[in-house]
Amino acid sequence: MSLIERVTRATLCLHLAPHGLHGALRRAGRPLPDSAFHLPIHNPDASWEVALASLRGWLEQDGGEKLPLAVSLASRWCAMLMVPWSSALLDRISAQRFLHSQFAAVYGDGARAWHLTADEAPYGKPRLACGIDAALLQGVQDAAAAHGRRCLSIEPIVGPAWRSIAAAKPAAFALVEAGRLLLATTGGGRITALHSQSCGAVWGDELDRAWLRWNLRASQLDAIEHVALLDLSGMPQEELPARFQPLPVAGAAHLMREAAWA
Amino acid sequence: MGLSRLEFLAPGAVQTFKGWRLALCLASGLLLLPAAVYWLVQTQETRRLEAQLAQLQPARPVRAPLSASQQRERDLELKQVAAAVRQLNLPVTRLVRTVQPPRDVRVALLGLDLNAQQGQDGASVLKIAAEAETPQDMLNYLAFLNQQPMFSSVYLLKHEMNANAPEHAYRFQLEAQWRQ
Repeated sequence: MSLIERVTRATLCLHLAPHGLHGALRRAGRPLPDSAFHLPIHNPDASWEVALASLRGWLEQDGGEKLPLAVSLASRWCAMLMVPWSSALLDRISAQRFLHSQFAAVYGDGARAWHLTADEAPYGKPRLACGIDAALLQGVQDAAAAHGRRCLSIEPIVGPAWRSIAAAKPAAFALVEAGRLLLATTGGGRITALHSQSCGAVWGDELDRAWLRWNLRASQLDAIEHVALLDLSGMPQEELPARFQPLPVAGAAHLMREAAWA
Repeated sequence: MGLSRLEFLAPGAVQTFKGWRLALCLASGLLLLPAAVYWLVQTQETRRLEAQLAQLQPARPVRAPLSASQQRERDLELKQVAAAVRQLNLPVTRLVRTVQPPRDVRVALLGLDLNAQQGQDGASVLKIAAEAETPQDMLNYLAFLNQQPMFSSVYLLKHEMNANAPEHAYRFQLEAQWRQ
Protein backbone atom coordinates (compact mmCIF):
# COMPACT_ATOMS: atom_id res chain seq x y z
CA MET A 1 0.00 0.00 0.00
CA SER A 2 1.43 3.36 -1.04
CA LEU A 3 1.77 6.31 1.31
CA ILE A 4 -1.05 8.24 -0.35
CA GLU A 5 -3.32 5.25 0.08
CA ARG A 6 -2.40 5.08 3.74
CA VAL A 7 -3.24 8.71 4.42
CA THR A 8 -6.39 8.97 2.29
CA ARG A 9 -9.62 7.41 3.35
CA ALA A 10 -11.63 5.41 0.91
CA THR A 11 -14.93 6.75 -0.37
CA LEU A 12 -18.01 4.68 -0.88
CA CYS A 13 -19.48 5.68 -4.25
CA LEU A 14 -23.15 4.86 -4.56
CA HIS A 15 -25.43 5.18 -7.55
CA LEU A 16 -29.09 5.13 -6.68
CA ALA A 17 -31.32 4.11 -9.59
CA PRO A 18 -34.99 3.03 -9.72
CA HIS A 19 -34.11 -0.62 -10.12
CA GLY A 20 -30.83 -0.99 -8.36
CA LEU A 21 -28.26 0.36 -5.97
CA HIS A 22 -24.73 0.23 -7.38
CA GLY A 23 -21.69 0.78 -5.27
CA ALA A 24 -17.91 0.73 -5.37
CA LEU A 25 -15.09 1.75 -3.08
CA ARG A 26 -12.56 4.28 -4.28
CA ARG A 27 -9.34 5.38 -2.70
CA ALA A 28 -7.17 8.12 -4.17
CA GLY A 29 -9.42 8.26 -7.20
CA ARG A 30 -9.10 4.58 -8.05
CA PRO A 31 -11.65 1.83 -7.53
CA LEU A 32 -10.62 -0.83 -5.07
CA PRO A 33 -10.60 -4.29 -6.66
CA ASP A 34 -13.55 -6.52 -5.87
CA SER A 35 -15.34 -3.74 -4.02
CA ALA A 36 -18.17 -3.24 -6.53
CA PHE A 37 -21.62 -4.49 -5.62
CA HIS A 38 -25.10 -4.29 -7.04
CA LEU A 39 -28.34 -4.49 -5.07
CA PRO A 40 -31.43 -5.00 -7.25
CA ILE A 41 -34.51 -3.08 -6.21
CA HIS A 42 -38.01 -4.27 -7.02
CA ASN A 43 -39.61 -0.99 -7.95
CA PRO A 44 -42.20 -1.29 -10.74
CA ASP A 45 -43.22 2.36 -10.41
CA ALA A 46 -39.62 3.55 -10.37
CA SER A 47 -40.41 5.77 -7.39
CA TRP A 48 -37.56 7.29 -5.45
CA GLU A 49 -39.23 6.46 -2.12
CA VAL A 50 -38.74 2.74 -2.71
CA ALA A 51 -35.18 3.23 -3.86
CA LEU A 52 -34.44 5.42 -0.86
CA ALA A 53 -35.86 2.79 1.45
CA SER A 54 -33.53 0.24 -0.15
CA LEU A 55 -30.61 2.59 0.41
CA ARG A 56 -31.58 2.96 4.08
CA GLY A 57 -31.83 -0.78 4.40
CA TRP A 58 -28.46 -1.36 2.82
CA LEU A 59 -26.78 1.25 5.01
CA GLU A 60 -28.32 -0.37 8.05
CA GLN A 61 -27.08 -3.80 7.11
CA ASP A 62 -23.60 -2.66 6.12
CA GLY A 63 -21.56 -3.24 9.23
CA GLY A 64 -18.23 -2.17 7.76
CA GLU A 65 -16.24 0.97 8.31
CA LYS A 66 -18.33 4.17 8.25
CA LEU A 67 -16.79 5.54 5.07
CA PRO A 68 -17.95 8.85 3.59
CA LEU A 69 -20.46 8.65 0.78
CA ALA A 70 -20.52 10.09 -2.71
CA VAL A 71 -23.97 9.57 -4.16
CA SER A 72 -25.13 9.88 -7.73
CA LEU A 73 -28.79 9.82 -8.68
CA ALA A 74 -30.43 8.36 -11.73
CA SER A 75 -31.54 10.78 -14.44
CA ARG A 76 -35.13 9.66 -14.01
CA TRP A 77 -35.43 11.70 -10.82
CA CYS A 78 -33.40 14.62 -12.11
CA ALA A 79 -35.03 17.31 -14.21
CA MET A 80 -32.45 19.03 -16.38
CA LEU A 81 -32.65 22.42 -18.02
CA MET A 82 -30.34 24.89 -19.70
CA VAL A 83 -31.11 28.24 -18.11
CA PRO A 84 -30.15 31.55 -19.69
CA TRP A 85 -27.63 33.78 -18.00
CA SER A 86 -28.92 36.19 -15.41
CA SER A 87 -27.18 38.39 -12.89
CA ALA A 88 -29.48 36.80 -10.30
CA LEU A 89 -27.26 33.71 -10.56
CA LEU A 90 -24.44 35.57 -8.83
CA ASP A 91 -26.13 35.39 -5.44
CA ARG A 92 -27.09 32.06 -3.88
CA ILE A 93 -30.54 33.07 -2.65
CA SER A 94 -31.55 35.02 -5.74
CA ALA A 95 -30.15 32.20 -7.89
CA GLN A 96 -32.56 29.74 -6.23
CA ARG A 97 -35.48 32.09 -6.94
CA PHE A 98 -34.38 32.54 -10.53
CA LEU A 99 -33.93 28.80 -11.06
CA HIS A 100 -37.33 28.07 -9.52
CA SER A 101 -38.99 30.52 -11.90
CA GLN A 102 -37.21 28.95 -14.87
CA PHE A 103 -38.11 25.39 -13.85
CA ALA A 104 -41.70 26.35 -13.01
CA ALA A 105 -42.08 27.74 -16.53
CA VAL A 106 -41.07 24.37 -18.03
CA TYR A 107 -42.11 21.77 -15.45
CA GLY A 108 -45.02 23.52 -13.78
CA ASP A 109 -45.63 24.61 -10.23
CA GLY A 110 -44.56 21.21 -8.92
CA ALA A 111 -41.01 22.40 -9.48
CA ARG A 112 -41.44 24.86 -6.60
CA ALA A 113 -40.84 21.95 -4.22
CA TRP A 114 -37.63 20.87 -5.91
CA HIS A 115 -34.14 21.53 -4.83
CA LEU A 116 -32.26 23.13 -7.71
CA THR A 117 -28.62 23.54 -8.50
CA ALA A 118 -26.74 24.97 -11.45
CA ASP A 119 -23.38 24.46 -13.04
CA GLU A 120 -20.72 27.14 -12.38
CA ALA A 121 -20.56 28.25 -16.00
CA PRO A 122 -18.53 31.35 -16.92
CA TYR A 123 -20.08 34.81 -16.56
CA GLY A 124 -22.68 35.50 -19.21
CA LYS A 125 -22.97 31.90 -20.44
CA PRO A 126 -26.09 29.72 -20.15
CA ARG A 127 -25.94 27.26 -17.30
CA LEU A 128 -26.91 23.65 -16.96
CA ALA A 129 -29.34 23.33 -14.07
CA CYS A 130 -30.80 20.31 -12.36
CA GLY A 131 -33.68 19.85 -9.99
CA ILE A 132 -34.67 16.97 -7.74
CA ASP A 133 -37.41 16.52 -5.23
CA ALA A 134 -36.24 18.24 -2.07
CA ALA A 135 -37.55 15.28 -0.05
CA LEU A 136 -35.29 12.90 -1.98
CA LEU A 137 -32.23 15.03 -1.29
CA GLN A 138 -33.13 15.35 2.38
CA GLY A 139 -33.86 11.61 2.54
CA VAL A 140 -30.41 10.70 1.21
CA GLN A 141 -28.72 13.09 3.64
CA ASP A 142 -30.79 11.83 6.56
CA ALA A 143 -30.08 8.22 5.68
CA ALA A 144 -26.36 8.89 5.62
CA ALA A 145 -26.45 10.87 8.85
CA ALA A 146 -28.55 8.24 10.60
CA HIS A 147 -25.78 5.71 10.08
CA GLY A 148 -22.93 8.04 10.98
CA ARG A 149 -21.75 8.62 7.46
CA ARG A 150 -20.70 11.87 5.90
CA CYS A 151 -22.01 12.85 2.46
CA LEU A 152 -19.24 14.25 0.29
CA SER A 153 -21.43 14.86 -2.72
CA ILE A 154 -24.86 14.23 -4.14
CA GLU A 155 -25.23 14.85 -7.84
CA PRO A 156 -27.06 13.59 -10.92
CA ILE A 157 -25.27 10.79 -12.77
CA VAL A 158 -24.75 12.99 -15.82
CA GLY A 159 -22.06 14.91 -13.92
CA PRO A 160 -19.77 11.95 -13.15
CA ALA A 161 -20.56 10.49 -16.58
CA TRP A 162 -19.35 13.64 -18.35
CA ARG A 163 -16.28 14.05 -16.18
CA SER A 164 -15.28 10.43 -16.77
CA ILE A 165 -15.06 10.98 -20.54
CA ALA A 166 -14.19 14.68 -20.68
CA ALA A 167 -10.48 14.00 -21.19
CA ALA A 168 -11.24 12.60 -24.66
CA LYS A 169 -13.11 15.85 -25.49
CA PRO A 170 -16.09 14.36 -27.33
CA ALA A 171 -18.30 16.93 -29.05
CA ALA A 172 -21.38 15.11 -27.79
CA PHE A 173 -22.24 12.13 -25.65
CA ALA A 174 -25.22 9.96 -24.90
CA LEU A 175 -25.98 8.45 -21.53
CA VAL A 176 -28.41 5.57 -21.49
CA GLU A 177 -29.90 4.29 -18.24
CA ALA A 178 -32.70 1.82 -17.73
CA GLY A 179 -35.77 3.67 -19.00
CA ARG A 180 -33.98 6.93 -19.67
CA LEU A 181 -31.67 8.33 -22.32
CA LEU A 182 -29.86 11.60 -22.30
CA LEU A 183 -28.05 13.43 -25.10
CA ALA A 184 -25.65 16.28 -24.49
CA THR A 185 -23.26 18.48 -26.45
CA THR A 186 -20.14 19.82 -24.87
CA GLY A 187 -17.67 22.63 -25.34
CA GLY A 188 -14.90 24.13 -23.25
CA GLY A 189 -15.21 21.41 -20.68
CA ARG A 190 -18.88 22.09 -20.09
CA ILE A 191 -22.20 20.66 -21.12
CA THR A 192 -23.62 23.24 -23.50
CA ALA A 193 -26.94 21.64 -24.51
CA LEU A 194 -28.94 18.73 -23.25
CA HIS A 195 -31.89 16.57 -24.25
CA SER A 196 -33.47 13.96 -22.01
CA GLN A 197 -36.33 11.54 -22.61
CA SER A 198 -37.64 8.18 -21.49
CA CYS A 199 -36.89 5.04 -23.49
CA GLY A 200 -37.80 1.40 -23.59
CA ALA A 201 -35.76 -1.77 -23.38
CA VAL A 202 -34.84 -1.61 -27.07
CA TRP A 203 -33.34 1.79 -26.92
CA GLY A 204 -30.99 1.61 -29.93
CA ASP A 205 -33.52 2.88 -32.45
CA GLU A 206 -34.97 5.35 -29.98
CA LEU A 207 -31.53 6.80 -29.39
CA ASP A 208 -30.99 7.41 -33.09
CA ARG A 209 -34.45 8.90 -33.53
CA ALA A 210 -33.96 11.12 -30.48
CA TRP A 211 -30.71 12.39 -31.96
CA LEU A 212 -32.35 13.11 -35.32
CA ARG A 213 -35.29 14.90 -33.71
CA TRP A 214 -32.95 16.95 -31.56
CA ASN A 215 -30.98 17.68 -34.73
CA LEU A 216 -34.05 19.20 -36.30
CA ARG A 217 -34.43 21.62 -33.39
CA ALA A 218 -30.73 22.39 -33.01
CA SER A 219 -29.06 22.69 -36.39
CA GLN A 220 -25.57 22.99 -34.89
CA LEU A 221 -25.64 19.24 -34.26
CA ASP A 222 -25.13 18.67 -38.00
CA ALA A 223 -21.41 19.20 -37.60
CA ILE A 224 -21.09 16.44 -34.98
CA GLU A 225 -20.09 13.14 -36.56
CA HIS A 226 -19.50 10.97 -33.52
CA VAL A 227 -21.35 10.71 -30.25
CA ALA A 228 -19.71 8.96 -27.30
CA LEU A 229 -22.09 6.46 -25.76
CA LEU A 230 -22.18 5.47 -22.10
CA ASP A 231 -24.49 2.52 -21.57
CA LEU A 232 -25.66 2.04 -17.99
CA SER A 233 -28.92 0.39 -18.99
CA GLY A 234 -27.79 -3.14 -18.49
CA MET A 235 -29.50 -3.94 -21.80
CA PRO A 236 -26.78 -3.74 -24.47
CA GLN A 237 -27.94 -3.20 -28.03
CA GLU A 238 -26.42 -5.21 -30.82
CA GLU A 239 -26.69 -2.90 -33.77
CA LEU A 240 -26.22 0.72 -33.12
CA PRO A 241 -25.84 3.45 -35.74
CA ALA A 242 -22.21 4.19 -36.53
CA ARG A 243 -22.62 7.68 -35.15
CA PHE A 244 -22.71 6.33 -31.60
CA GLN A 245 -19.42 5.01 -30.30
CA PRO A 246 -19.82 2.95 -27.12
CA LEU A 247 -17.31 3.46 -24.34
CA PRO A 248 -16.54 0.69 -21.84
CA VAL A 249 -18.15 1.30 -18.46
CA ALA A 250 -17.89 -1.14 -15.58
CA GLY A 251 -20.82 0.40 -13.72
CA ALA A 252 -22.46 3.62 -12.70
CA ALA A 253 -20.56 3.83 -9.44
CA HIS A 254 -17.28 3.51 -11.33
CA LEU A 255 -17.99 6.76 -13.14
CA MET A 256 -17.56 8.71 -9.94
CA ARG A 257 -13.85 9.06 -10.37
CA GLU A 258 -13.53 12.43 -8.71
CA ALA A 259 -15.73 11.68 -5.78
CA ALA A 260 -12.80 10.46 -3.72
CA TRP A 261 -11.31 13.93 -3.90
CA ALA A 262 -14.47 15.85 -3.10
CA MET B 1 -11.67 25.83 -17.20
CA GLY B 2 -13.41 23.42 -14.83
CA LEU B 3 -15.71 20.66 -15.91
CA SER B 4 -19.46 20.79 -15.46
CA ARG B 5 -20.54 19.84 -11.97
CA LEU B 6 -24.04 19.75 -10.58
CA GLU B 7 -23.58 19.45 -6.84
CA PHE B 8 -26.59 19.49 -4.56
CA LEU B 9 -24.58 19.83 -1.39
CA ALA B 10 -23.44 23.37 -0.67
CA PRO B 11 -19.78 23.43 0.25
CA GLY B 12 -20.26 24.81 3.74
CA ALA B 13 -17.47 25.95 5.97
CA VAL B 14 -18.12 23.13 8.41
CA GLN B 15 -17.71 20.57 5.69
CA THR B 16 -14.68 22.28 4.20
CA PHE B 17 -12.80 22.51 7.48
CA LYS B 18 -13.16 19.00 8.69
CA GLY B 19 -10.85 16.07 8.85
CA TRP B 20 -7.49 16.42 7.19
CA ARG B 21 -8.26 19.96 6.01
CA LEU B 22 -8.78 21.10 9.58
CA ALA B 23 -5.63 19.25 10.66
CA LEU B 24 -3.67 20.89 7.84
CA CYS B 25 -4.94 24.34 8.83
CA LEU B 26 -4.04 23.76 12.47
CA ALA B 27 -0.60 22.43 11.55
CA SER B 28 0.02 25.45 9.31
CA GLY B 29 -1.07 27.77 12.11
CA LEU B 30 1.26 26.06 14.58
CA LEU B 31 4.13 26.32 12.10
CA LEU B 32 3.50 30.02 11.61
CA LEU B 33 3.08 30.75 15.31
CA PRO B 34 6.84 31.02 16.16
CA ALA B 35 7.32 33.32 13.18
CA ALA B 36 4.46 35.52 14.37
CA VAL B 37 5.86 35.67 17.92
CA TYR B 38 9.33 36.47 16.58
CA TRP B 39 7.86 39.20 14.40
CA LEU B 40 6.01 40.73 17.34
CA VAL B 41 9.18 40.71 19.49
CA GLN B 42 11.19 42.31 16.70
CA THR B 43 8.55 44.98 16.17
CA GLN B 44 8.50 45.88 19.86
CA GLU B 45 12.30 45.99 19.99
CA THR B 46 12.39 48.23 16.93
CA ARG B 47 9.88 50.60 18.50
CA ARG B 48 11.85 50.71 21.75
CA LEU B 49 15.10 51.51 19.92
CA GLU B 50 13.39 54.18 17.85
CA ALA B 51 12.06 55.80 21.04
CA GLN B 52 15.57 55.75 22.55
CA LEU B 53 17.00 57.26 19.41
CA ALA B 54 14.42 60.02 19.49
CA GLN B 55 15.32 60.83 23.11
CA LEU B 56 19.03 60.98 22.30
CA GLN B 57 18.57 63.45 19.48
CA PRO B 58 19.68 67.01 20.59
CA ALA B 59 16.71 69.22 21.13
CA ARG B 60 16.61 72.01 18.59
CA PRO B 61 16.35 75.38 20.36
CA VAL B 62 13.23 77.19 19.51
CA ARG B 63 13.92 80.82 18.84
CA ALA B 64 11.34 83.43 19.44
CA PRO B 65 10.54 85.45 16.33
CA LEU B 66 12.24 88.84 16.30
CA SER B 67 10.34 92.11 16.21
CA ALA B 68 10.70 94.40 13.18
CA SER B 69 13.16 96.76 14.88
CA GLN B 70 15.22 93.87 16.21
CA GLN B 71 15.25 92.33 12.77
CA ARG B 72 16.54 95.63 11.27
CA GLU B 73 19.27 95.79 13.91
CA ARG B 74 20.17 92.20 13.17
CA ASP B 75 20.40 92.94 9.43
CA LEU B 76 22.58 95.96 10.11
CA GLU B 77 24.90 93.89 12.27
CA LEU B 78 25.09 91.27 9.61
CA LYS B 79 26.03 93.88 7.01
CA GLN B 80 28.75 95.30 9.26
CA VAL B 81 30.10 91.86 9.97
CA ALA B 82 30.09 91.08 6.27
CA ALA B 83 31.97 94.34 5.50
CA ALA B 84 34.55 93.58 8.19
CA VAL B 85 35.03 90.10 6.87
CA ARG B 86 35.43 91.47 3.37
CA GLN B 87 38.08 93.91 4.60
CA LEU B 88 39.93 91.18 6.41
CA ASN B 89 39.87 89.04 3.33
CA LEU B 90 41.26 91.74 0.99
CA PRO B 91 44.35 90.51 -0.91
CA VAL B 92 46.31 93.62 0.00
CA THR B 93 49.75 92.16 -0.60
CA ARG B 94 48.76 90.93 -4.03
CA LEU B 95 47.22 94.27 -4.95
CA VAL B 96 50.26 96.25 -3.82
CA ARG B 97 52.52 93.91 -5.77
CA THR B 98 50.36 94.26 -8.84
CA VAL B 99 50.24 98.06 -8.83
CA GLN B 100 54.03 98.36 -8.46
CA PRO B 101 55.16 100.08 -11.68
CA PRO B 102 57.94 98.46 -13.67
CA ARG B 103 61.33 100.13 -13.75
CA ASP B 104 60.92 101.70 -17.16
CA VAL B 105 57.75 103.48 -16.07
CA ARG B 106 58.79 106.27 -13.82
CA VAL B 107 55.77 106.68 -11.58
CA ALA B 108 55.66 107.18 -7.84
CA LEU B 109 52.70 105.78 -5.95
CA LEU B 110 51.26 108.26 -3.52
CA GLY B 111 48.31 106.36 -2.13
CA LEU B 112 45.91 103.42 -2.41
CA ASP B 113 42.30 103.54 -1.36
CA LEU B 114 40.83 100.09 -0.80
CA ASN B 115 37.64 101.28 0.83
CA ALA B 116 35.93 102.47 -2.31
CA GLN B 117 32.38 101.24 -3.00
CA GLN B 118 31.87 98.09 -5.00
CA GLY B 119 30.97 98.41 -8.63
CA GLN B 120 27.57 97.49 -10.05
CA ASP B 121 28.71 94.09 -11.23
CA GLY B 122 30.07 93.20 -7.80
CA ALA B 123 33.70 94.01 -8.66
CA SER B 124 35.77 95.80 -6.00
CA VAL B 125 37.23 99.22 -6.74
CA LEU B 126 40.75 100.36 -6.02
CA LYS B 127 41.69 104.02 -6.21
CA ILE B 128 45.30 104.80 -6.93
CA ALA B 129 46.99 108.20 -6.46
CA ALA B 130 50.35 108.56 -8.23
CA GLU B 131 52.78 111.06 -9.64
CA ALA B 132 54.74 110.95 -12.88
CA GLU B 133 57.36 113.18 -14.39
CA THR B 134 55.80 113.25 -17.87
CA PRO B 135 52.33 112.65 -19.28
CA GLN B 136 53.82 109.77 -21.24
CA ASP B 137 54.83 108.02 -18.02
CA MET B 138 51.29 108.51 -16.71
CA LEU B 139 49.77 106.93 -19.83
CA ASN B 140 52.33 104.11 -19.80
CA TYR B 141 51.39 103.32 -16.23
CA LEU B 142 47.70 103.34 -17.16
CA ALA B 143 48.41 100.91 -20.01
CA PHE B 144 50.50 98.74 -17.70
CA LEU B 145 47.68 98.42 -15.20
CA ASN B 146 45.20 97.63 -17.94
CA GLN B 147 47.35 94.69 -18.94
CA GLN B 148 47.21 93.14 -15.47
CA PRO B 149 44.80 90.20 -15.33
CA MET B 150 43.73 91.12 -11.82
CA PHE B 151 42.09 94.32 -13.08
CA SER B 152 39.04 94.22 -15.28
CA SER B 153 39.13 97.93 -16.18
CA VAL B 154 41.37 100.83 -15.27
CA TYR B 155 40.60 104.43 -16.11
CA LEU B 156 41.94 107.86 -15.31
CA LEU B 157 39.82 109.85 -12.89
CA LYS B 158 41.70 113.11 -12.92
CA HIS B 159 45.18 114.49 -13.48
CA GLU B 160 46.87 117.80 -12.75
CA MET B 161 50.24 119.43 -13.06
CA ASN B 162 51.84 120.34 -9.76
CA ALA B 163 53.05 123.84 -10.45
CA ASN B 164 54.74 124.06 -7.06
CA ALA B 165 57.03 121.15 -7.77
CA PRO B 166 60.36 122.04 -9.35
CA GLU B 167 59.89 119.78 -12.35
CA HIS B 168 56.15 120.35 -12.70
CA ALA B 169 55.28 116.71 -12.04
CA TYR B 170 51.92 115.21 -13.05
CA ARG B 171 49.64 114.02 -10.26
CA PHE B 172 46.85 111.80 -11.24
CA GLN B 173 44.18 109.39 -9.84
CA LEU B 174 43.20 106.07 -11.34
CA GLU B 175 40.31 103.80 -10.56
CA ALA B 176 40.80 100.11 -11.10
CA GLN B 177 38.11 97.44 -10.82
CA TRP B 178 39.48 94.13 -9.64
CA ARG B 179 38.35 90.64 -8.88
CA GLN B 180 39.84 88.03 -6.67
